[in-house]
Amino acid sequence: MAPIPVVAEQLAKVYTFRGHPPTYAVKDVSFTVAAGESMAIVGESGSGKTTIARILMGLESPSSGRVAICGHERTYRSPSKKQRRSLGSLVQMVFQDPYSSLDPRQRIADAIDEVITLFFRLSRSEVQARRSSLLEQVGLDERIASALPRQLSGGQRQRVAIARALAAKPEVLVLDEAVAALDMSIRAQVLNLLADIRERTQISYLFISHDLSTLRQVTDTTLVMRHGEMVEYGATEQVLSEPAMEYTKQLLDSIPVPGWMPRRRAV
Amino acid sequence: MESPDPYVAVRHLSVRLPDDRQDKVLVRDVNFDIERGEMVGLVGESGSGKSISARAMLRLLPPRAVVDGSVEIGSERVLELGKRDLRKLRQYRVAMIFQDPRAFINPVRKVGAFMLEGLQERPGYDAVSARRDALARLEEVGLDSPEKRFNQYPYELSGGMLQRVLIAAALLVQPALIIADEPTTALDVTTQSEIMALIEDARKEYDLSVLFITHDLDLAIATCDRIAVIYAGRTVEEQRASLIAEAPLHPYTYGLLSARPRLASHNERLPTIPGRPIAAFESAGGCPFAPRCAFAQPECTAWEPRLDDFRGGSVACRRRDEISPLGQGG
Repeated sequence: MAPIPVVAEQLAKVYTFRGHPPTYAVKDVSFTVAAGESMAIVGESGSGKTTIARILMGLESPSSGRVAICGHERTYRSPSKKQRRSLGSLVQMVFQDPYSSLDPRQRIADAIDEVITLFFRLSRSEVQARRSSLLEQVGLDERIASALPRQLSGGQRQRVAIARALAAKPEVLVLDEAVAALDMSIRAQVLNLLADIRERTQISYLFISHDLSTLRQVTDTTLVMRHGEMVEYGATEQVLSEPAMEYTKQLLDSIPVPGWMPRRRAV
Repeated sequence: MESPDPYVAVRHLSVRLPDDRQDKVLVRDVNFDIERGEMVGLVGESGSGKSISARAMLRLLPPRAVVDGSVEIGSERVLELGKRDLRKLRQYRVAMIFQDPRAFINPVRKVGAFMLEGLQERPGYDAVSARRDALARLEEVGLDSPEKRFNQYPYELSGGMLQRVLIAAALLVQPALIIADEPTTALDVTTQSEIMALIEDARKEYDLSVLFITHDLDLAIATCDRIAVIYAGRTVEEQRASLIAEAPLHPYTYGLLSARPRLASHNERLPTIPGRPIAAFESAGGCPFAPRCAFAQPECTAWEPRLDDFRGGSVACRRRDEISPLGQGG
């Protein structure tokens, strides 16, 4: 059997300042993501959800705990170039802001080709063919290949960011608030695109979000976080319809629906 | 939509920036009313002109921007006011709350100094009673130990707390109208619901009119009395919030409603609006939504949009008699 795409065990990230008690950004977080599974990490600001994504990507090191991507242990102290690259071909990330995640001076074709040639030894024409199929996969016209990011809309840029991430043929895609900055009518398009890609490939998603209303659309399991700790972890369906924890209920109650009575609390 | 005497009446508001070659149109034809004590949502996607419209209402745009149409607040015709009267209007009758409280507040001045700043030029200003009022407002917006907050700097408060400070400061002015421009977009969901509750309470308490600008149609439906939907710098629909979800009048509203992911149900695919939202300056003649509209006919691209009263609301759609209302979104 193929190894599990994502294993995170007992992750912790602690910050210590002299004279202060240690601050946990992430504390004792464990989960797995199976092949083809889409898991949501939801929480408010300061919940540690982005820190977890960055630890999985190797952008930040955990204070303790371990991460394995498709059976490869991630080492955080001076990983070799080879190791970084082999993990890079397994897990890729799409960021929230499509305006800052692409190089403003790099044409779309170059941005995608760069990733293809980094991971695969292909001839020029093969690279071009692969790029075309990636652009098609994310619903973009071949013509935008020669454009610069500033010539594209936010939705188009986010599609480019997704195409670029897929160029590495990863087993896992980490989506950090990837639809949060998009307009209402564009968000639905990108959510559909993510569903399409998952249907065609056996890719796993880690979908990081503060917005519970999109979860049913794209995820199978949900991990709710607060102040760096796991609050609830289960099937998305279950978590949304029968939340076990008070905090999850509070998050659900905060979603505006007709007849909604927003609640006041003192702070 | 035309009631005898709305507190705020915005008619055919347009904003353009003259350029060397060609004027850039930012707002083309925005219309809405706000009654006393009413909360109206101005809903649109990026570039639709919602924030520019709000700023144009108070003439807060750079001097080279050309604003046309009419804006009435109370009995004042805002676009015709002289400097002194305009300042009075901004000082006494209208308060604004913005998306990012941290960007709005002066980081090197204490909360208290920020709150009292706008009052000090009023005739008969009394520092002691102003301070007492400010503390009362801070308590009213749910901040504990107002005395302490009053003497704190902005960096010592969280985003949600700062937004409360801004609301307290807005209420301190005793305005008749509050313009809230995406006041909860930068906040967490649980904080969002608290801030909305606060705005709602203040509106009831002081009979305030509120213009609530947002990109979040669900939030507007849940909190507003009426909603004006704008697209490419035009009001395309204006209706009671309680009706808009069940019976949208414009195909754009219908499309937005259909494209919402639902908490309650799982759809394999969301119905989407093809293409992307356009800004006012990108639309030439004809209905700006026609290229994305599922109901468009060839004639629509030549039809000059006009907002007409329709079924208790208003709509700018050539085919309204045939297709509106459009039934439940999704």
